[in-house]
Amino acid sequence: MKIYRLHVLLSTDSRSILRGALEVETKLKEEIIKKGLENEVQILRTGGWGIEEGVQLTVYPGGLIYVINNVEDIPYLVEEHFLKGRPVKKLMYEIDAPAKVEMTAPIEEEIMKKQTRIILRNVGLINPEDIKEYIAHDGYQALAQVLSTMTPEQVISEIKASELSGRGGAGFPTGFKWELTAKAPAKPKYIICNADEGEPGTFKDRVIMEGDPHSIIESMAIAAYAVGANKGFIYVRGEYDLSIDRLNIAIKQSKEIGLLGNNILGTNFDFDVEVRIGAGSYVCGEETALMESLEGKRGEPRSKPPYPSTEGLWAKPTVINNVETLANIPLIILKGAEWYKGLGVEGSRGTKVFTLFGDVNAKGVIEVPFGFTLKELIYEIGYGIKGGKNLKLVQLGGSSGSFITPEHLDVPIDWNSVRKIGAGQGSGAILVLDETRCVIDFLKNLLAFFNHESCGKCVPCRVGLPKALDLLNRVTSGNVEIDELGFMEELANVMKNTSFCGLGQAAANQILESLKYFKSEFINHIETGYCPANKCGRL
Amino acid sequence: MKNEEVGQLIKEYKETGEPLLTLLHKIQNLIPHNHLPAEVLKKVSRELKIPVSSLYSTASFYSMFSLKPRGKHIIRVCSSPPCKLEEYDSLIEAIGEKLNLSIGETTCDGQFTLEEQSCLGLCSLASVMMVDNDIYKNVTVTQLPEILDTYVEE
Amino acid sequence: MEKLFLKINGNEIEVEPGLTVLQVAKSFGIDIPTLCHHDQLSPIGACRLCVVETKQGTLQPACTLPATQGLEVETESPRVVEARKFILNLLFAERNHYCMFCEASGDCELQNMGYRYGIDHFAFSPYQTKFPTDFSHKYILLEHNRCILCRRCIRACSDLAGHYVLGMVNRGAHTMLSPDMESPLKASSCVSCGACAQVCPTGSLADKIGAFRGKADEMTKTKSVCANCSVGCGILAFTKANHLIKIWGEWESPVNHGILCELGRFSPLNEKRKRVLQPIIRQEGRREVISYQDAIKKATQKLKEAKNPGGIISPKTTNEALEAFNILFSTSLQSKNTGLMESYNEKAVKLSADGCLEDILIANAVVLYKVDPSTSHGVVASWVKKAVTKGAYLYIVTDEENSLSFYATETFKTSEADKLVNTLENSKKVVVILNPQVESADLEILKKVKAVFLPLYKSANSLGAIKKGLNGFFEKSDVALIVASDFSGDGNLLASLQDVSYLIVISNFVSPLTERANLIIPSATWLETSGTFTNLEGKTQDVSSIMEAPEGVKTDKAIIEDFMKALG
Ligand SMILES: Cc1cc2nc3c(=O)[nH]c(=O)nc-3n(C[C@H](O)[C@H](O)[C@H](O)COP(=O)(O)O)c2cc1C
Ligand code: SF4
Ligand code: SF4
Ligand code: SF4
Ligand code: FES
Ligand code: FES
Repeated sequence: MKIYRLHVLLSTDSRSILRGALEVETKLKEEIIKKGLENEVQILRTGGWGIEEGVQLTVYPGGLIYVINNVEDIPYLVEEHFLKGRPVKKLMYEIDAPAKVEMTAPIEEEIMKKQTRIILRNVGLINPEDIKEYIAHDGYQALAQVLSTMTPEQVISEIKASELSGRGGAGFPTGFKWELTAKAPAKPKYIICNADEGEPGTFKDRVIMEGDPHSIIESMAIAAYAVGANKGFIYVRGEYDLSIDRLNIAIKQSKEIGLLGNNILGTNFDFDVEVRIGAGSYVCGEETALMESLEGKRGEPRSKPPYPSTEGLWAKPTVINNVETLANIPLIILKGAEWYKGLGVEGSRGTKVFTLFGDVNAKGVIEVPFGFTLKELIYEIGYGIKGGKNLKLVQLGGSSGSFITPEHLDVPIDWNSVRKIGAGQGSGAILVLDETRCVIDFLKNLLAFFNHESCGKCVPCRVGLPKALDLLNRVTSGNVEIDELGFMEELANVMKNTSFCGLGQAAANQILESLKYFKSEFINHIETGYCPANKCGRL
Repeated sequence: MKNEEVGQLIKEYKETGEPLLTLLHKIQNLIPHNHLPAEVLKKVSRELKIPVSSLYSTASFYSMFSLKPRGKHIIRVCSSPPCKLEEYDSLIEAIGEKLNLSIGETTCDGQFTLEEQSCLGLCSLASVMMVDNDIYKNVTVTQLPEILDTYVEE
Repeated sequence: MEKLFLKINGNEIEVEPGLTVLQVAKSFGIDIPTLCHHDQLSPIGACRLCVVETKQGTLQPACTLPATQGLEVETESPRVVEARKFILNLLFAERNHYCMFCEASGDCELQNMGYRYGIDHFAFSPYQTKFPTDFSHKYILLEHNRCILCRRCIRACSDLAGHYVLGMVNRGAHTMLSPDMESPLKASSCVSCGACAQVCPTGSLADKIGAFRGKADEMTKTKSVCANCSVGCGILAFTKANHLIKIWGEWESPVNHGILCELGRFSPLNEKRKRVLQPIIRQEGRREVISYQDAIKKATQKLKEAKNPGGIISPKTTNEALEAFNILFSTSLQSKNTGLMESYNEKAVKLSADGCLEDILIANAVVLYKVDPSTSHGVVASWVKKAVTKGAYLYIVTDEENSLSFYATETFKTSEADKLVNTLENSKKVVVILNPQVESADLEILKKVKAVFLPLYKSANSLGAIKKGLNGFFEKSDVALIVASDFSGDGNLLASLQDVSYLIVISNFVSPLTERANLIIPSATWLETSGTFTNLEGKTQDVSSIMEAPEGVKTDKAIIEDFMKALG
């Protein structure tokens, strides 16, 4: 085996590729050969770090992060750092903050300091297209341990003891979910990984699939063993090309070395996984709609009960878990439930991946234990609001999430605390809006999204959304009586209380929260035509 | 119509038990106008013994499938709330001006179709748009002509 | 099984498990309003009108909510009523519901709900887009502007009738009902069974003939049995002032469970043939109307004088008429010279001792042996399609086109019919649907198959007649009586009458047969007759007269009895 002096981790997630990661790679190789360093420097492809600029290179030892915006900088970098060992300050990752943070520690530590990476443990560190690297980072150890030393009941009780809860939005305890399916008498059983990630503002699952696909497969195998399933499906949204490719590569590699298939690791446990792709429908992320879609039908939700744990895919008992939920499993097994429970807070154990974007300085994917406040996330990890403006509103959990106004910034983000202020953390998207944004315009965009994605099965959502949009258009054109706002609220209440699935309910929630927190802005629009963003253009 | 190739795909489908949506994706990619023509759906219906109404019902549900012929290149502008906060409106307007096109339409020369796209999970790079399989981030109106020109045939 | 206790509107209720709240409420006389729900269809919970309030304060649709231990619901609480009103308002504003211009006005469930909840104005401005109306179909009107997207029609068409013609296209606010691929109904794969129109709660899918003819409430409804083939489907006929307005499938019927075919539902409404209304005698080339008494006298006199009196009867008349006919010949006329207007292979009849239509639905393999039931026995075709959708294999033996070949696993030429034997070897439950006029060579093959056999006799009471020893024409006769019902008499029949010198025909309609007759006596149609038919399974079912016969026109049985009386 070759020993390299330097390892360069090159981000090749879809964002980095857009920013020219492949060109950077070519140029790097050229330069390294030019300088005769090919036996000293190794280039490794990895996922992204969650930095929203350029193409990232992380150089080990040292963990220095470079951000390459221009391939022309590469010859200099190779010469200076790789050849002469002098880090290139001007290419190092810096945060575009109003008051520049002075970088003292190596930068890797700076952005990671506040983060705890469990779910994203391998993302950015390993080559997602090489199973050997995953294995080298303890990959498939948990599966081996489960198959060789644990009974299915022990696996379930370990997961239950960890208090892991679902990261797909509703926070249902994962161990209980598995137990329900394990106890269901019907056979065969299925495991589904919900990778439909369509929630606007949410891209945590993509980062995991692109950066660490094997962790999903390993976790599904563990879940399958625990509940007695032999077949799994990963339902990935059709737009996620790179995720689909990486998952398929990972499955192929696992099969090749017998980590999927029959008699896994010499036991009598058989398990197989297939990637299934969607075709453009947000509601297909809803678990029962997803199953309809998997069965080749329209992605319309089914009535619950019966729940998927007893009657799911093809009416058989099915466990369905979000990508992020699953990514927790291997470490819980390896390090134990007690260790896991040490992270986070009462009622919300472990870490959570958030996506931070909108009007903040540092955007990206972050993983922290439950219990951080929004203030910490936005002002410390995100380096505050762009242009030093004031915060107007945070939308937590994506378009179907909740509005958090500045007075609640100190509320810790965990299931219980967030619930107390009548909100939900949903998918973990944190959309930051500054004071110059117009709530009504934003609401219109939200409703237009839901209207576009409504499946049309139930009346309150199918008909209610166009009617609510009508009303909003009349608000911005000033063509409405103030008391019609009450009518809008009633409409939203009916939609919320009677819609078939979470989509219609969430849509209604956006109306209710806008009215709750920003009624005066509605009234201003109607009475004076004033719009803070000057967006609703009325003369 | 690419009858033989479609036939081959259906055959593979039967052999491997490939999922229906994947089959429809593959067929659509094969058809020059990026859509699922009625005759093709009829063929699929006949061969797989799926009632034509069910097939059509399924195909029409998903936004990535089109039942009408589309342009050679498909411009998809992300229209989800985070992207709309950025350049969405002006992009749509600019595309409309440059190509005389509004959402859901195809240019007369059959080169471009403009569609809305729901969030691509690249929101921190808003506004995002796609042309065919190429993704563009932080798109502004000034970059637009250059982007589109790379697809215009000489 | 463990009993469940729940509370509806404060009342303790004890029920068996496995029911929905809607079913429970209904059985206790509590009326929860519904729109997308239909008792015969599996619930989908789409309209949300049936919401009830739970103790926890959530609104849940009663039609899909399982009744569980300890559940407490309110069915008309203020919140429930508010929500229902709002939902109705949304529905009224989704498309065009100006009821006064609607053909369903009075029979529309949406309109009735509007009255029930006092919706007297549009809370939202109604939707202005006009959808096209599809007038293309001969019998069925599709008016998208009235559609509430409840999908009852889709479920009836697919799950009950097995045709899968209707579906939803697009999604969200753009959702539309669509036959096939948004084809006009006429050009679609619609087989005109009419199930959709029977279940549609609004005027969106309506039967053209029945539309605009008043409210169902004001019509007389009669249960009877369809006489258009040997399946014997239960029907519910709607009449008004002795006019037939529409025919529905009878949900309670054990034969068809509410499903009909084009023949059963629409052909009686479309009757254009000319009735025989008075007895007519042809003498010296002239036709003359005579009195009924004179006609009976003349006919019986001719029969009595005959050397070899013969009789042929239609398999569309009742068992009671058939019996009277048999007695007339055996006792009054002492003749064995009787026959039927159809002839069957007796051996094929014997094969079928225990066949039952329900068997098709639970078969693993179905064979269509030289038959194509779609146009002649529509409901059998429905059942075959349903079986195939549930996973049964279908094998067709034919040299011709078969309308069900889309569904076939394999089609065999008649010359390779023997391949069936091997093909079916491993199938657990096989149903062979056959043409009972097949040759003996066919029967040799079929005997080797372990199966349930269902011969598709042509007419409503063919099996009733066969069981009474009537099968095939007579050999030779000089004076013949033909009880024709609505048969017009094909070439074979007319040819077999060559030697007949005096022909008496009892008939519903003017036809080639009545043209050939020396004496014609008018008879009541099946719609005007009571009695029984024996269907192809051997079930004997009651037929009730739906309308009154024209004045002076009697039923076959009454006429034959008058013959007997006259003969003494
Ligand atoms: C409209 C709607 C969209 C959803 N989209 C997603 C999604 O994209 N990904 C996901 O994991 N869960 C989604 N969910 C939640 C799923 O229904 C389900 O709760 C989740 O997959 C369960 O996994 P978990 O227990 O691991 O969280 C959605 C729910 C609704 C109502
Ligand atoms: S709430 Fe909306 S998305 Fe959900 S079932 Fe109803 S129409 Fe479909
Ligand atoms: S046509 Fe009638 S039954 Fe069918 S969806 Fe529309 S309203 Fe319902
Ligand atoms: S199948 Fe026969 S009995 Fe039934 S409706 Fe059709 S014609 Fe009448
Ligand atoms: S909102 Fe446009 S990519 Fe997410
Ligand atoms: S009747 Fe229950 S939802 Fe329509």
